[in-house]
Amino acid sequence: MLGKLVKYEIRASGRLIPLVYLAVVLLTIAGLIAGATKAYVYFAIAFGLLFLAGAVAMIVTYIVVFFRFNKGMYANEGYLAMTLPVKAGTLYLSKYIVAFGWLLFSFIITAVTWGASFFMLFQVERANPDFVHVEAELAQYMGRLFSSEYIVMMILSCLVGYLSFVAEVFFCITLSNMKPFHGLGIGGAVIAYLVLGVITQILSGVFAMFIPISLTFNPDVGWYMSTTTMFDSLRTIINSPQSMEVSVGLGTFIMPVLYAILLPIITVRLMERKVNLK
Amino acid sequence: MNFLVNFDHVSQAYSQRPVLRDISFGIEPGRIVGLVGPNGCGKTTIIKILAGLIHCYEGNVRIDNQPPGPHTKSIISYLPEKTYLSDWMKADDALNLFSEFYMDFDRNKATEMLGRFGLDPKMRVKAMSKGMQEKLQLLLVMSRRAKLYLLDEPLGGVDPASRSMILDIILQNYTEEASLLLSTHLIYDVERIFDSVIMLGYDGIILNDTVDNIRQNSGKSVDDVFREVFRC
Repeated sequence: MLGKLVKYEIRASGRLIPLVYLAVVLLTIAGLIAGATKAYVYFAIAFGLLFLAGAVAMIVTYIVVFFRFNKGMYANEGYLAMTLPVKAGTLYLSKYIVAFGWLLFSFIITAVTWGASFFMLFQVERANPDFVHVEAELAQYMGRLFSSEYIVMMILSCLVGYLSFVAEVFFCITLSNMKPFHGLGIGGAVIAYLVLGVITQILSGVFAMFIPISLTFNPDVGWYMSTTTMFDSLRTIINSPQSMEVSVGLGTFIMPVLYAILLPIITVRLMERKVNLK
Repeated sequence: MNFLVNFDHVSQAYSQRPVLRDISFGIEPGRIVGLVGPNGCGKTTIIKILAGLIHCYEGNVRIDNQPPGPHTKSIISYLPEKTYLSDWMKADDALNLFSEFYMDFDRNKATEMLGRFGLDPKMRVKAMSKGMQEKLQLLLVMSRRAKLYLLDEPLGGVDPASRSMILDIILQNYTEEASLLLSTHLIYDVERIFDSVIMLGYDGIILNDTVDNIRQNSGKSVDDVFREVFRC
């Protein structure tokens, strides 16, 4: 049943997003051509459009997947979805998988688009002797910054972040469809998300600061794992400004991991026991 | 008695406003039951509880000896008041969806009814009029060999000429062993098909009896009894 639900969810959500991707691809091609012509006016326009297109791809994806969840579960279409002979968990999982997939795909598209726009920038810069050449220095710095540890951390952070983000938004939308919040409409979901966001930020900050496991950056050796707390690292920087080591507390991942695991379970429970379709 | 549906002391409220107050009734297999009452008395709420769309209620609900869940949803064919098909779907997609999710869906019957209603299988739901969408939903629901049909105001937005056609479709397509619960406030048009009637008021069930008994005891039709009870 999960496969069938996923298939219908992709078909339902996949009408607008691919069109946005197509627009992004066309803009990227146009931008690369404009960059190659060395016509700086066209290049500037294309650079701006590429950046914008990447952002639009992400924003449209957010809107579509979350709008789909609300419409498919709690608006008119919910009358069909919620009466299908499947468990609430299976129904939820199908939406979760598809939403996560679209968001991840859009992230990749945006990253590629923005990468392309920077590639264009370097192309133009290289072709013009009057420009200050920064790419060599930048590449050297990036080489140190983007070590394998850092890249792995970024990928993990991105995956966990998206899983947690989808779980949080689905939870808030579900909460807004419970009896006490019926009157607030989608505003209830927004308020719930803001409240959850504040709580998350506070807890994540505390965990990041005080849990003694960090990824530390040293300009000479790059990134390495350490048992320093982020709080100690900041104190060291304040006390001795010549210190070049910066630690990022990995405790910051606790809340997203907890959310990615717990919120889907709580949301499904709410769907099974507390949600009434209007 | 062996009931297919057991609705036992159920109460439900919307924002502190009670809609159902301690409602109890049972439905035997093979019966066509009319759920009648004025607007806002809780007919749709009862049907939504049975369909598994409302979870917050007090009391006990059993369908085929089970609480509302995946099993009961597999034996219930539910027609809501609202249009629940996605805009992007074509009539054909809706038939595919039903045949993929409901084991008891008779695709041939649905295709035949689609032709009888003059609906184009390639037409998108978005392009259909409200009446066409309602017909599509009705044919989907009645093409299942379900144990329980829940029809919420199937005649609500339909012109008088189409009402008897819809009733005929319901009667021709529902299986004899199945039960059918049909909510309506247009009693005159449908009382001919009911075996029994649950008359719901704002404070609970006013009458729950067979149509024959109601007529025999009151000497009036169900519609006349309804008009008498709810006279303003």
